[in-house]
Amino acid sequence: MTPNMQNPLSRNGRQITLFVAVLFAFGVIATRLTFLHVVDREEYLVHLDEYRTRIDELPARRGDILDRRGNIQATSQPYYVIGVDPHAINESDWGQFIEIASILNIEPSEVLRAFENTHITQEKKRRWVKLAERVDEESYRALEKIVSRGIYGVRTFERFYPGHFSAAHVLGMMNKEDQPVTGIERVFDFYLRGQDGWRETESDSRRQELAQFRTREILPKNGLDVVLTLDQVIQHFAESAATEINSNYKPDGISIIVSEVDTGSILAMSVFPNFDPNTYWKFPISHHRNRALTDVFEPGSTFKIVAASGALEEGLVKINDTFDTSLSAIEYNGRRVRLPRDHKAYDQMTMSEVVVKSSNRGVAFLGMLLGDQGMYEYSRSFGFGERTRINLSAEVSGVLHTPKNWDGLTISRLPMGHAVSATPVQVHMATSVIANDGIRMAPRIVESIVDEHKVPVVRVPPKEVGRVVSENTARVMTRLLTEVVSPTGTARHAQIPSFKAAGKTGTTQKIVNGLYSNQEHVSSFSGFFPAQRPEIVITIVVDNPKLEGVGYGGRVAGPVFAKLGKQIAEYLGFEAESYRTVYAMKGEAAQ
Amino acid sequence: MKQQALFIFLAFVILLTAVGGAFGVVWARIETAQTAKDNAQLEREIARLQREEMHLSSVIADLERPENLKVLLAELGSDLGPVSSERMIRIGEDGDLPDLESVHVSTMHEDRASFQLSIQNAVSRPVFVRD
Repeated sequence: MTPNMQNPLSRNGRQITLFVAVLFAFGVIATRLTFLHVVDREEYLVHLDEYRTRIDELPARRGDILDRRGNIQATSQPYYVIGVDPHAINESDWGQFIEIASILNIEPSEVLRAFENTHITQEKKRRWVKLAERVDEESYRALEKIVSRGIYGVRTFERFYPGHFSAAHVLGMMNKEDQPVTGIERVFDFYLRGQDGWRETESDSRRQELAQFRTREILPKNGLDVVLTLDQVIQHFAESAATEINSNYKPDGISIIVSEVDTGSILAMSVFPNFDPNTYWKFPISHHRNRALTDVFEPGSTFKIVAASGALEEGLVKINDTFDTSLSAIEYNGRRVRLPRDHKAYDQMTMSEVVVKSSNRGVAFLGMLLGDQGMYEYSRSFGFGERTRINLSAEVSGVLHTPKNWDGLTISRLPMGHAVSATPVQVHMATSVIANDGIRMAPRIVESIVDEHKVPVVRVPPKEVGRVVSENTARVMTRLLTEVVSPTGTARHAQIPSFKAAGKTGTTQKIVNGLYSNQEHVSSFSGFFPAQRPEIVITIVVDNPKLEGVGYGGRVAGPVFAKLGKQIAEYLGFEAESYRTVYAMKGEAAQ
Repeated sequence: MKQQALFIFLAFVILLTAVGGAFGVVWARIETAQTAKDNAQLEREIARLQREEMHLSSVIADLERPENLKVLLAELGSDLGPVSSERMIRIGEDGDLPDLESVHVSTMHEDRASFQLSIQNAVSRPVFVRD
């Protein structure tokens, strides 16, 4: 071996020492790596999974609720909960506290208090002090511009109802836990809520996502939009009418329902007292109730269409047949039945006068002609005593006892709308039967369910419940009800200029402490127009209007029907019945 | 000597491949990370725009409320309003719409025309309205 071929390690001790040291260092590292990757592998993998791997939830956006013309009635909006980390605030940002307060619409002192609120205990630092919630996107961005760090926003999506009070009872609401509570929000939650997605990914030590390590991902499926049959403008007319009734009569409650005759589609449903679903917690719980579906009342004279239609349909009576309404009691099924009183004394009355003048006694005769079972069956077929199955929550069925539970007076009281309780929507749908040539439709509140491109996914077609009376009977009844809304009828205030309307008033004494009250009434009117080819049904129920004297339906609800009818006719462009159609041809002057 | 040169060359190529490969892997990883980051940024941007769209939709819905439109009309001093049935001229379903001349002759209120409302209201039937 030549000198320059000698092993370099043997050249000097320092090199050997260095070599050993390096070898030792590598040995230590190798040992440590062996422990990390082999011996303690499982334990560290658990920690790694815990700290690095994460599953991000990808929330689905809740669908909107739209009216029939596509106007948004309920939507989801991003809001921020704004908080401050008192330790992260830059000193230079302290001077911005007045501007911060003005953006967040809070007192400047609250901002300063939050900045100074640095410790939970002497040792434990406070890293989050809430400043404001429900802060919108614009304000949050404005805030980001003026504060460099230390103020953070936690994004949440909350429901926003642009119409505020409009159709609140139909739309329903979401509570603070983002759960649907009432109305369409609740009934159609399955379609509205969509399906959340998720993503498996990894993050670094600062919890920032390392997007390159995304593994599995299920994208969210946004909720579908629900298209209502409501029309925002007609709803506005109804809301304005309810506001007017409220300011004139200060009643306990109001229900106004407007619907299409041939489809049963509800165009407006206004209920008072109402509430703003954006701030539902500020209103008493009683205001959340949809009285059109939950509150029952004795329908009174609006119910007389049942006995009259039934007697006509069965051929038991003709419109010119007369009744002696001066009698106070008659024999019925072998016993003497006392007849109800009329508000003024009549003698002989034709069947048509019984309806037009709303004679309680006269209609009791009609009920007796039908008999217990007949009266009960017609009441059922008009929809009383059972839910209408409208797609809204909390509907009640009202009360209609079976004949075996009737007392001796029921046969004389039921035909005039006593001994039965009904919801405003039941009364409304019963009137619709006459308007719709004797066919009963189910009330329809949802038109369709559409996807984000507005393509229908589910259609909700009009639903026919069945025929109640023949077309002929319905037309005869319409003619009689048209006379009710005439200058000589009980509902003369319900006349709509340029249109013939038909309808029936109702005035019921409320039962207070088990007795019929002379002070408290429920005033109602249910009618339709144009009478010759009915298109719109309107029902107005006013609970306990405060006024001098009796709150007759014709006086309280009649004028509202007239005003609403006029507005709706103008809005929908109905052809005035009392005006001749003018045909204008090109190049010729229309006459 | 030739073999030694070949050996050195091969060793160099192997080293180059190893180092180049290693750098390539690192570069690819950096690029992957950057692309993923850019994608995530784009996703955030899309989400932000969607939020903005949601916000604007609700602002528009709020502005289009009938109550607000009434206030707006009042502020503009406009006399736009519902058309009364008495002022409607109806065109037969099988007839052409008349030219403006014929309508001008036929109506007594030609100075207060309100065609927008007629179009808006005429959803299912041809109604020609003059206010």
